[in-house]
Amino acid sequence: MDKEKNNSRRNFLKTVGLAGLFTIVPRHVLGGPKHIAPSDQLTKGIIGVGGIGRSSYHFTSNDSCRLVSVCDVDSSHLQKALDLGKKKFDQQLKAYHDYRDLINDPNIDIVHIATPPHWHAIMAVEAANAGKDIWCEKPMTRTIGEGKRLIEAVRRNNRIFRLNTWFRFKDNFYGLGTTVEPLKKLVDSGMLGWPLKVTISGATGFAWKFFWTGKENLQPETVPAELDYDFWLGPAPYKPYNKHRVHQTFRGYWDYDGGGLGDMGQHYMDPVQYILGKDDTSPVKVEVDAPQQHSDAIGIWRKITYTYADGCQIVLEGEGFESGNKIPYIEGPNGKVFKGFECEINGETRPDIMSVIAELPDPEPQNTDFIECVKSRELFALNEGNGHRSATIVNMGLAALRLNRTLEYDPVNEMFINDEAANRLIDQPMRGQWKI
Amino acid sequence: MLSALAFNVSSALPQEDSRGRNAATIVADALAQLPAQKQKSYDNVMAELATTGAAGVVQLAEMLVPADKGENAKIEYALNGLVSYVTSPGKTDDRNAVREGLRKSIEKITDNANKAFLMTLLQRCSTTDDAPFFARYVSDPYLADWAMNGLIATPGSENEVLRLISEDKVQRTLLANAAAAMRLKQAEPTLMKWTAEAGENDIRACYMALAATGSSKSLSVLAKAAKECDYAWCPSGATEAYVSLIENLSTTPGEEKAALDAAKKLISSTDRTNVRGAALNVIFNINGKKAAPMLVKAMGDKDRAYRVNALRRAQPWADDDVCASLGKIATSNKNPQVKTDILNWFGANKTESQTDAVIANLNDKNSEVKTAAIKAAGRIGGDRSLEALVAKLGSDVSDKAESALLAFNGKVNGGIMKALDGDKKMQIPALRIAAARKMTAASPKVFQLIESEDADLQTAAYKALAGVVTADDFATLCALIEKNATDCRSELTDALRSSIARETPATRYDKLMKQISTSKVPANYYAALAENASQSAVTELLRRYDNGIDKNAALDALLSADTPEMIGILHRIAENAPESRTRALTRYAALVSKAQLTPVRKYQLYRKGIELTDDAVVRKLMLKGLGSTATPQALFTSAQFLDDREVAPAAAAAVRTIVSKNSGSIGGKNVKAALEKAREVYKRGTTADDGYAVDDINGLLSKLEDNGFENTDTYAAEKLSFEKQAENFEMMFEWTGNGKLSVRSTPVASLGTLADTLLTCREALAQNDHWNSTYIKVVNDRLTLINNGITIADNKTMVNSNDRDIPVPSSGLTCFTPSDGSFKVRDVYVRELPSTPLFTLSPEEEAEGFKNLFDGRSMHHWTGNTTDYVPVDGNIYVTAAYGNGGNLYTVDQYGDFVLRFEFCFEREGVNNGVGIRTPMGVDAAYHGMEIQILDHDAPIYRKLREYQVHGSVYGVIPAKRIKHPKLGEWSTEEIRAVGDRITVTVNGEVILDGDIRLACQGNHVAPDGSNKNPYTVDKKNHPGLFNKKGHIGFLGHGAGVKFRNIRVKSLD
Repeated sequence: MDKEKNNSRRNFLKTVGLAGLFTIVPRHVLGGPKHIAPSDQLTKGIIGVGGIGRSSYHFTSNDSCRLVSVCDVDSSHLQKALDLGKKKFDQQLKAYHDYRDLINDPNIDIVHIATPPHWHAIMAVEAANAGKDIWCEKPMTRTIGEGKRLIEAVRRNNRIFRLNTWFRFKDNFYGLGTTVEPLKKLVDSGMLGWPLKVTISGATGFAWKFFWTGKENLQPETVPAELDYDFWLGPAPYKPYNKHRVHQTFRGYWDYDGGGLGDMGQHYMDPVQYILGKDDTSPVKVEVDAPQQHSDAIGIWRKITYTYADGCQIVLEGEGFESGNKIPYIEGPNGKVFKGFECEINGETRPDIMSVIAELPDPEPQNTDFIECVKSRELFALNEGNGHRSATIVNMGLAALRLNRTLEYDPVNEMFINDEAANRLIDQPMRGQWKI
Repeated sequence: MLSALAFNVSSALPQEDSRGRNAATIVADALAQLPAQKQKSYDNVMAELATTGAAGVVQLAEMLVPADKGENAKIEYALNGLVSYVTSPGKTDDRNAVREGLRKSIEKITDNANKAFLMTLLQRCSTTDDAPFFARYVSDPYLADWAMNGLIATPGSENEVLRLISEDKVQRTLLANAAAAMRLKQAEPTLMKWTAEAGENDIRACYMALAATGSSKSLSVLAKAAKECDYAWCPSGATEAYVSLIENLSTTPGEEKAALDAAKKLISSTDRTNVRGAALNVIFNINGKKAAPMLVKAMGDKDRAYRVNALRRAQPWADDDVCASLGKIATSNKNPQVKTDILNWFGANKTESQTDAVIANLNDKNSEVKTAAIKAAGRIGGDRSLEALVAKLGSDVSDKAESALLAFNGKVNGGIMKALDGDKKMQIPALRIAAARKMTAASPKVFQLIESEDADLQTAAYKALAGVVTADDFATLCALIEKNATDCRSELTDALRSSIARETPATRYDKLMKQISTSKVPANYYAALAENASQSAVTELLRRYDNGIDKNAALDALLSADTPEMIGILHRIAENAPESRTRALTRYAALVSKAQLTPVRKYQLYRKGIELTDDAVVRKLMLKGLGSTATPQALFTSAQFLDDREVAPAAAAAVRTIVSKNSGSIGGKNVKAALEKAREVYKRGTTADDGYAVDDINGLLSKLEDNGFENTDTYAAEKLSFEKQAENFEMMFEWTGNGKLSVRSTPVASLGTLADTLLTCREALAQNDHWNSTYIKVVNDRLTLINNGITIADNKTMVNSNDRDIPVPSSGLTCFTPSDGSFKVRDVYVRELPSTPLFTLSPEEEAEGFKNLFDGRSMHHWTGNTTDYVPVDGNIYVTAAYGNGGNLYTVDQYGDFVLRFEFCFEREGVNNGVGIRTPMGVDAAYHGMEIQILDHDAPIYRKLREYQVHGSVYGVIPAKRIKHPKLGEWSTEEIRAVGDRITVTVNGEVILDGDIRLACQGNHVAPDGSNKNPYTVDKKNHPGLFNKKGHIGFLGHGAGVKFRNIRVKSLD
């Protein structure tokens, strides 16, 4: 215990700061007009510094949180990240090959997981066990079972978890020209009636069913020297290396992700889950209309329809991609909302809808500052609980695609009903030592 | 023809019946149809495959090759599809057969990767009976992991795994992992032993297994291990295993006490929050409300994460009493963080019973506490919270109170009305809330406050005005505007707009025009006129703008008008008024973006916009718009801006977006050059996203097709006519004025206002403002034409307007013919498509008098269903689904004739027929004659009647049964009909030579007038059997057959 105390980062900074370890300690730690006490500035490490991990909105340091470490099993990615750290922050980042070394680093408060999804659950569970708070990229997990394990670990270890998609609380919402807030108010007011059907279609900028398909008949290739392929695969079943499996194109394979649905589904469906007030439940049915899927490579699909117990529906409408098609984004017995927030209530168009909405109270405030949440320990707006539910929408869809049939789901016990084969997709095998 | 053959595939094919052959053909047939695109075909193919049982699975598996030796995708589709199919509920027998097939296959084949694939499939459909099979592979150097995962997934495999554990011959980590995943409590003693013996490599698996399976007996082992790790995370996972075990025991009957004791001890053993928190969770879960004292005690803990966790975990059992004791802490504790934590928790749970405690903290000295109390009060809601929050308006935390009131749990109007009567500090935020919530009841008060002598208050009231006014306030507002006419505050005109926003356009227009006609300063009303502008309002504003009546105000108003017709008006303004160009075009781009228009139309508008300006900001807007249209035309337009340094990044983004949205269907030199240039632009960028874009473009380049739209000298637009003779091609071009388009030297469409009913496209193509964008595709005798995004002709048979009796030539000049001097063409891009093979008569047949009915390119001699029978690559393809769309007939009628043609089956079980001497639109088998076309070798036709086999005069004379060649190979056929004698020759062999009158003894219909005819072999009436003449036709029963080289000699 005492040994650990001495190793803690804050003490570490105190003791080494004066010794002039400037590569690690930013100048402002030493005082000055914009002095920030080390205890006010959190630290983070990123696991996975490919495209997403290195992208400019993640690869940041500021007064509230400083990037100190990076980890990757591809040494060229790691080197690029170190170079970028030098260029952006004039700082020597600490580099790790094995994520377990990063999560065990006492100098890190927050672990940012930006690896392919087949690693998310294991890393999040381990980070939680190591007492770290977690920022995890979407999709949250690759299976429903992994999501359950992640929730258990985060809650057991009382950690703060953020799933990184944000349309439920900021940025203009796809095709509507506003944030999700006015739509949430409109829905909550009951003016559209109930149940509601939300259609994510070409009319609201939906194209991702086409993206991130895998390739069949992959030829084995030599693993590049910079990549630790075995570690990259981790819990995924061993398959001979081909460059299309890894980096940027991994999304096209069931073993690592879920194609366009896995990659983008949570961005689009999480805000819908919020709008419909379904954060603590899941659809009871998923229907798919798709070409038959391959065992390894993920293909496209035409339509996926989710139905909740109360009759609310989410439809991913992949046909009629032209943006000119007039499909309502949200539709209830009493009204519809189209692209650009065009609104029809009781059969009449309502150009004044925004002033009608203005009369309604704002939705309940959400905690949208992750660093503040880490400090106050309040739950982040999109956390392990509701994040798991929106990931479940994605993962239910993937299961139905793989089995090419309609599946029914019990949202309380989180199991498919009367379909034992579908339930085997809830907990999929993990390779070798990589178990949770 | 095979209409009477109704069958159920899975029941009609007994497994024992010549199974090998059936399996082989069914497997081959299935592979040809995979991957299935539609659910119905998937179900059909899988149902057929399932009938092949284990043998079919083995056959498929044996076709798998090592990945570097060939392609396995089709087989993987078949096996994976089959496993998914047989695991659907209610298919137990099929599933058992597939399992058996998979087991046999794993034993038979040699490639490890393929074995692993099959084992993954077995893992997905296995039952208890498969456990011993998996167990045989748990020591296999390659397959051990798959085998163990198979055991874990297989229900009822516990005994098998326990056996392996007791034998102890397999790698222990594998077994320990399995024991953990399957929660095998019986394994505990062995696992304890293994733990004691474990080394660095297997200790983690042992700890995890003990955690999942162990009883209280395992506590001491794990407790010691966790302590050795100092309760930190360590590679052995000891701490996590210990915590897990305690947690598991806490829900195991009889073990709760041990769990409770261990948890209590653990809390005091470490100061690691996550471990202490986990232990506290256990105590809370076991003791529930009995643990309330621990919750209270936790509030005194120095560690915030521990406190907040305690609160969160207490939520399920925290009743009013517990909340009351927390409320006491929240009001009396010295530590502001503790107070904050409890207040946050009250807010999150909407703990109404603690409203008093929350309100009390609104006056805390500490700002963090005050803020938390405000947030909690807003979430809890209720009259007292409202009153308390309103009282905070104007205080040091006024902004926080204001936010809380805006999101208040309930209506705030009453409270805000009171605040509007309060002091100035309170009135100002109350005015903001009144406006935000559109509190129309507040309007008299706001009108009163704009007269205030206090400048701040007056300003706030003015700002609030637009939010609270209604139509009833119109007169008051107009009066105010007139009073301050020359120095009118914009808040007043904003309020005026808002007051009439919900009136009908006509009423709004009338009211405002009346006001404008009498006003001293009419311009004050322009903005209101533009709000939800009617056509007449826009016209009026435009008139004033054009005539210089308050020109600037009119322009401002026009720029705010939000109607689609403003797009054209703004373009005109931008064109004529350079000083207003940037503003007009900025608004123009926004309106185009949200208009309901086809992508091509949007491209035209963005292009018109970008061509009108040098302003980089506006050009970037247009480029963004061009990218969003995802049209190839926009790509070529955007590419022209890649050299303009200022806007190059926007142009590069547009190019990248368009190619990526058309990936797989776009290519050629122009696209490649544009992408390469775009890549250079991104390479100059410095952010990580630029690097990502470069990688993305590299990916797009690698997928690019070679063949694409080109603008070469051969297709120089200004010549209006191309030097090259063209056969099959796609073309994009833009045009204006009046002219005509010819392809293959044949006029096909009017461009402009002049309709021409003689052409393939009879209507004149709709005119756009200036330039029109047209796409055409010419293949064989078919034309597709899309004008400005609207499809005019969809694979329509072209009419030869020069001579309607002959088909369009198969090659010729493409040209534009001006109808008047206004006609212009630009941006012509052509993509050549492969030439279609041409069939001509042999000299002998020509000499004999044969006529070519189908030369591979033109369906001119045919009529009827020319949409499902289409010329493709020199063949007539049948694309129809069963029963769709009708049949294909010759235009001419024939009595006695010799018909020669070739046919090819692409799919097993094809069913078609040649109708002869038949009227159109009837069932030729009875109202004419049908010479059967059928792949009678397919196993599904096993029960075929003899008069149904290929070549038969259907229902009348059976043909000799032949063996068809392999799928995909061509057969020749001749049908000779002379009087009553019909002769059918296939691949040189006469398979039918008979007399139709003799065959039915002259009774083509039942002599007694009934519908049962004893004289025909199918016992049916054939009223058309003795027709003298009629059409020749193809009688479709589904896709998968093609015909070519069709020629006829009339003997009439």
